[in-house]
Amino acid sequence: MSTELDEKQVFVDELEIGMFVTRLDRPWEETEFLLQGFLIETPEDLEALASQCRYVFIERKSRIVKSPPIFGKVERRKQKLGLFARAKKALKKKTASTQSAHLASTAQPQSAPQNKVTYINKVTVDKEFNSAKQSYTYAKLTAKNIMEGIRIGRTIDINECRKAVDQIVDSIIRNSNALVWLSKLKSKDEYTAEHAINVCILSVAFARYLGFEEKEIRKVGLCGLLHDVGKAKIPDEILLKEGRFTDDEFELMKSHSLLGRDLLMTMPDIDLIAIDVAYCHHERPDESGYPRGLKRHQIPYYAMLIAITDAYDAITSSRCYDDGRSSMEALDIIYKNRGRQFDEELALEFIKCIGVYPPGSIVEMTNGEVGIVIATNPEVKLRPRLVIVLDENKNKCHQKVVNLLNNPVDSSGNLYNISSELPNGKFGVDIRQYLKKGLKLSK
Amino acid sequence: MEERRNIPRYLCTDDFSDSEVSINNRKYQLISTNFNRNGIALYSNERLPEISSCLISFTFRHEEGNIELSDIPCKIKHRHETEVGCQYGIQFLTEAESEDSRAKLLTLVEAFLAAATNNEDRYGLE
Repeated sequence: MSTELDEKQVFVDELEIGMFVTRLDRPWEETEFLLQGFLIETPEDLEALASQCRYVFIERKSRIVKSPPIFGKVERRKQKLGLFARAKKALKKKTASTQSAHLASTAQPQSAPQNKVTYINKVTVDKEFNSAKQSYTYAKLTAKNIMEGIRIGRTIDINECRKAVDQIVDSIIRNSNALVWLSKLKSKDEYTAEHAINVCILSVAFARYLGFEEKEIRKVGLCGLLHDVGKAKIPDEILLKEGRFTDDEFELMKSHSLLGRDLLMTMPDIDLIAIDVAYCHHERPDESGYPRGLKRHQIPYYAMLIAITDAYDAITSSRCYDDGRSSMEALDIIYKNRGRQFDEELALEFIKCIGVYPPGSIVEMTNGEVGIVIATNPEVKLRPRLVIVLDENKNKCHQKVVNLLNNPVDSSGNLYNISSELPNGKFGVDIRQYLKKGLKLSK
Repeated sequence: MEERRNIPRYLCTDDFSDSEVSINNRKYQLISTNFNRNGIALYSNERLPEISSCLISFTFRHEEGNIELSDIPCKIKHRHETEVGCQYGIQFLTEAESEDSRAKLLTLVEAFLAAATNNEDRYGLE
């Protein structure tokens, strides 16, 4: 079952700016339109429709249908992966000078970068931590302001969004561990705002790992921050509902991608790829996604990237109705769904990027002690740097930092090894509390 | 969150088929994620009906012969249904200590998965 647009047939002379065209009276391939579905924004759009069609179908509202819509030929889709194509068309009308600037901001890669940028941590995690906390706090405030602002009819301040994303990107480029650590701090009461930031953080860290250029990393970050912005239009009674959603409520929740697209399309200076991602981040390579049930080649690359970070954070987060799962459970799901729910190559890269014990994980050692992972060692991901917080009897102990890469031994002379990852809260270890009270991050 | 399991949750290898969940004579195809003799974790884009009991069938491909398990009575113990997908924790209702042949096959599948597990490289990516 998927969500599809409810359409209304309209003669071209009845069309108005602001209507969203979903279908024509003829195949898209027979027209000059690059997109199969677009918003009428200018009189020129109206003229183009009038010259090529007698009537079209416009979007009325969403409803639930059994079968996905049918799309055009594969060959043309590469040029029609989303609003990027429409942006290029619009550019033809602009001057040469504005064209080049606009193209630079809308062009999106359709695969991993050919020439990868290698980033190294410029500072240690403990040195970055305070700055990362400030970036996280600022981004959280921004995300909350966005959501609350939309509810009272305010437009999204894209400059504030970019400022928040820039701080996150700068921090992650200096050291990728500190903010990933902070993304583990989850409160079920503030899920929606925290999820937006966490997806932004994870996406930026992932893009850095993939070797994206810095300007592309910033775009990915903005996409992450705004991917779920449509949820601001979902009533709190549903967003914060503790019990199981009814079928209608569940479908309403799923409508956030359409709502997000509509919200972002009203913003004049938005990166167009952010609109695509808000609209397409629940599309799946096996065509089981929503709202349109797109095929793999029709899904924008950044939407496939955000789909993975979105799922990872959603699975590991507690919500008002349920506890979050461990990082390993989330990675198991991503691994098992590779090539179906998630792009295969991106899924495997993400698993490598996050590692078995990401920063902020709570782990039990083979001697029974419990620690919190501070930073991963890229060369040997199974042997991260961590701080021991509970002794072998699960009592609080004097915090000590151990770097497993150096093969340290415990008080009995045995080599320190991780036995398993624990969910947050196990044995009373809540990373939020440890952060509040102070966690030793260096020797 | 309470720890619910004593036996490790093994990652279902590519030899583990999708699981067919039967509820009120309607069948649903879910992706098998984790497994041990006590239960299985499944994932789907579509929600299951709000019913706690179901029947599960799956196949484990093995060079010595496929292990096919059909219509195992199960209880849906846990649901995590979100807009990014739905996870289900399902308990097998077989008597491990009895002569139930299905319980023995479940234990056999667990043993194969345990043997295939590499704790140093869970996903074979290193």
